[in-house]
Amino acid sequence: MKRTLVVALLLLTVVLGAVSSVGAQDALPAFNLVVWSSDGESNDVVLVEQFNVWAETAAPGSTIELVSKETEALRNDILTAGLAGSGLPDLILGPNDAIGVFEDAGLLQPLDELFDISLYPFNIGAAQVGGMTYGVPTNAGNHLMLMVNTSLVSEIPQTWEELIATARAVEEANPEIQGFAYNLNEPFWFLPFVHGFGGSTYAEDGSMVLDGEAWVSAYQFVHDLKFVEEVVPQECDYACANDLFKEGSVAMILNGDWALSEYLDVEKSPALGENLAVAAWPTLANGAHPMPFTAGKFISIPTTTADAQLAGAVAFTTWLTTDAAAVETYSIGTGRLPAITAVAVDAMTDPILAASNAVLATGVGMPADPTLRCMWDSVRPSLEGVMSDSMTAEDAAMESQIAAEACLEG
Amino acid sequence: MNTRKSSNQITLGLGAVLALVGLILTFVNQMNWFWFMAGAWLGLLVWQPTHWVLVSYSIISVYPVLRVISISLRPTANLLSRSLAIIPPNATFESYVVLFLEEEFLLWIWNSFSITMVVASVGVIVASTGAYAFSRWRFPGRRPALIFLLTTQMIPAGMLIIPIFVIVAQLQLTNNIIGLMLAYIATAIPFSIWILKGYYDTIPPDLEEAAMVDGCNRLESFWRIILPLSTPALSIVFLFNFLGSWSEFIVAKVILQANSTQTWPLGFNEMIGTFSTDWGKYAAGSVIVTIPVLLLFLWQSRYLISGLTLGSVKG
Amino acid sequence: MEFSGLDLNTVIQTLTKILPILVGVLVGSLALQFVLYQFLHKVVKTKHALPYTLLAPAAIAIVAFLLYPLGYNTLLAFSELKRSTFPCYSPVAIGECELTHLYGLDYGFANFRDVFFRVRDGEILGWGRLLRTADSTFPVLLQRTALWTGLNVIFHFTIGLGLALLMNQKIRFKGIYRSLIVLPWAIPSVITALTWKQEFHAQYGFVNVMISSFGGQPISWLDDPVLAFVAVVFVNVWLGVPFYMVMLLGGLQSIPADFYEAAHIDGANARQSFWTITLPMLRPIIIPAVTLDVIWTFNKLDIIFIISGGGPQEKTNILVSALFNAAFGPAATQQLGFAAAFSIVIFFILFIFAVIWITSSGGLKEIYDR
Repeated sequence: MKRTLVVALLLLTVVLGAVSSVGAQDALPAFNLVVWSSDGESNDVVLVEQFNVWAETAAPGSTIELVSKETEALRNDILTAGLAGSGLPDLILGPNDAIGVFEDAGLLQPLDELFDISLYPFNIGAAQVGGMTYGVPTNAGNHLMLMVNTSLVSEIPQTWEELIATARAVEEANPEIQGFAYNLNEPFWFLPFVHGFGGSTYAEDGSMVLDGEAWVSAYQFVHDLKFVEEVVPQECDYACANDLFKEGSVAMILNGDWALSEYLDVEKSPALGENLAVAAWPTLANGAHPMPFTAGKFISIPTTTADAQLAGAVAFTTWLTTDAAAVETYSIGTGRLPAITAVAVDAMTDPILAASNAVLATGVGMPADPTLRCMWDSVRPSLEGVMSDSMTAEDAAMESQIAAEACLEG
Repeated sequence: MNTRKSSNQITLGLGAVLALVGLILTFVNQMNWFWFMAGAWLGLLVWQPTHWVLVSYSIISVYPVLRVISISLRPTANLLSRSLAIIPPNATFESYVVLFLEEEFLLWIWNSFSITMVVASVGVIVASTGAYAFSRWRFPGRRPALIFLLTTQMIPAGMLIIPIFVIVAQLQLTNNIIGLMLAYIATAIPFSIWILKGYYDTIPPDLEEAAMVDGCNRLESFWRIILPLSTPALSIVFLFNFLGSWSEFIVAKVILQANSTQTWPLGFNEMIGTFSTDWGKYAAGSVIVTIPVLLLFLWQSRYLISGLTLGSVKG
Repeated sequence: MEFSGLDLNTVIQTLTKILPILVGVLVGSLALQFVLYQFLHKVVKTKHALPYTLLAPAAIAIVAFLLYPLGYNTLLAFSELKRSTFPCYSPVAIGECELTHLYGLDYGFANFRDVFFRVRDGEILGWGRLLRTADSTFPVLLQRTALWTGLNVIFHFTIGLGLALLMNQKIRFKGIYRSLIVLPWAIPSVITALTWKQEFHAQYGFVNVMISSFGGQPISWLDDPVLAFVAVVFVNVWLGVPFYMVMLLGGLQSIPADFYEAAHIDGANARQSFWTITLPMLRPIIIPAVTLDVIWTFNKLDIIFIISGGGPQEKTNILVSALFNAAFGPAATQQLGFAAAFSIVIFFILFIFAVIWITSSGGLKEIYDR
């Protein structure tokens, strides 16, 4: 009896010892992590907080230096630093099209060996080039949705006709308030219309085709929204739509998931907070929803990250994207959808996230192909022409195709 | 004399009438003061044409500044508005306070200030001796060198950005304000030499000759006599270099990446980024960074005119 | 102890970095000059020892930070540096390098040719597109740059001269006027550019609020190519007038009054004395001022970049803004070899023009004979 007890105690000690040594992983040595991010300041603040939470136990004494940059600036600065051979950050957090560009320049490390790629089935494809993975998603999305101020709009419009009527009703009831606005001349806001009319950037054979019927219909549609229906302001860029929405001077806008954390914070958006609702794009005359591009925000690692920084970066990224609490705070907490369990989020009770997820499911995956750049840059002048009523829809489509072909050649 | 006086009275009368018409139209149009201002303005045109031109142009010069000030005083809730009032209703210094508390504004100012002071000082030091050489001696290579200095003014933006970045990176000086200083100094020197040479040209060589007769050698006469005399030009060169580096943005953006080394143009650029534009903070910051420039400018303004022209007008 | 990002530590750190530099430059240039002088005077025994010595610090700074980067830029123009060949040129990029040589005349030829023409299979197809649209070809950009420069300089000069003439009279409030008119020059151009950009906004800008106040239709300035160009020219003229006014006023004040009196006695009226006395006497000031202004305006990037970004539809780009957009803008393709060649072409155009202007206006004598 005594012997059994002693053996049991011994076994227990051994087991306990094994368990505790498994639980307490070896903490990493302290390191400094330099991150360049184009995710937006309010989201970056949460990232820094999460790093500190993680570092406390996993790598005590570590520090993070996060630089928030604009998307264009991020791209240019990475390339210039890469050329000089020094000054690259340890981690890059950005959209997936930047990944295509950086990979083409040979500045990113392949991540297949460093991470368990099978954990991110939903949108890992958006960060894969030539069969290798160059980015790990921190969230799934980056998609545009209809966002509504429910204190001004009681019923969320389901079709564009309803939206136009709703916008007009709001303006009649409140002369100082604009019914609807969005980033008018930015191609990223225009492509969903093209997708809604059945078009796409690449044809079946992979060539770029920007002058199909769907494109012309889309140009015509956005042109008419401004000049025929007069339901959008004469001039509106991202700042205009964003700022006015936050202060309650615009009732409905089209914006992306990155802005949700700011809109849900009443301090930053005095008119929103609880009054925010998110919905799918209203349907077009043909019954289809305009479909936004979807991808997410990705963490990629430059070639110069090594040793302690690399180990720390990999460990932190793995934790950030897989640990339940981290995902809860960073991905979901900032209004985005986690890449890991994106598909299984149907049962989410939060109406905003559920709506966001619904839109995500109907979106079009954005490839990391660097030639996509040619499409964006060719569509922009055409869109500007159409939105200033100085170009017909047909000419716009034709011009963008010519420009794209010239871009692809050179 | 009588006709002059009476024509003056006529124009004054006409002007007053126009202003009155404006006032009436204001009442008619629901106190829309634009009509009164328009009337008064036309009245001034009739009464004192010279002053009208100067006043009009002064208004055009000043108005954007006033707008920035008024945006900085708006309560942060209504930053985008159609109001043209200079002092907005509910004016508050909130934006200024928020600027200091929420952004690392002082750090930016400090970085800009240190860089600018070094660049301006070094520019003056290096250019003063160089310009003197161009002014007082004819040596082989003088003409091509002067033409070269003028040519460097023609270098387009963009031509030097990448090379400078690569060089600074190879010297491991990125993110280091010293790297930026080097870049600014290099581009400041040609213009500084240009201005100083013009100034030295106006000082007659007799002064140095007199000094040398008294026993000084050339260097001493430069040091003791010419330099003190050139204080106006030296301070103008300092001013120009200061102005040039204080608000420079593009090269700074390429070289300085980290938050700890940002100058105020970089900080502002971040503030007004695509994601969230806080115009109140931006306007408050603009007002603050303009003040030292304005003060320097006004203090130097008497030197400014004489210094720039003395080099060109033959005695 | 940190307030607004700044604490005592940072201040001290910066000072410890800067003061040695300042002292070092001062001491270093003195030491350098001393040694150099001894060398030139005693060893080489040239009679130009002193001027060369005095020039040495400036020369070294210029060689190191102007000539070396210029040289590097020229080298880049003869390279095939673009995104896909990064691994060949960058020490940290991974990947295969498929180039047989890094720098070469063939690359240089191709880069310079691409600035002008669009080539497929060795055949010249037409003018090359420097950005995306058909408006970004070399001849169009050159034309627009000439138009931009010409309009700006003409308005700068005429308005500046007009103001200077008015200010040269005996009037009250001169000091106030001068301080106010000089304001655009004193304020950092980044701020004024952004402010004016807001003022041209379709709904909230001052310009349109005034227009709608008087019952007109607000105009989308920055949406229309012609109006956007008008807007940027307006802002640049606004910025440049003070410089001319200050220069010309100084010149006017140094014209002796006796000249005008003598002319008056001889029967000349105001207009005749303007053309025969004022303008000729202002010539030594006008020529350097206009020369500098042409050079600066030709290369003026920030106004166009900040206000219109070169748009809409790339129709307000001038050569330098197109260069910047091609190298760093949203449509950038990171073809840095090409961008370097483009920058050299722009430089030469300005250089040729400046040479023609300076020699024809006799300004060259101004430069080296004084």
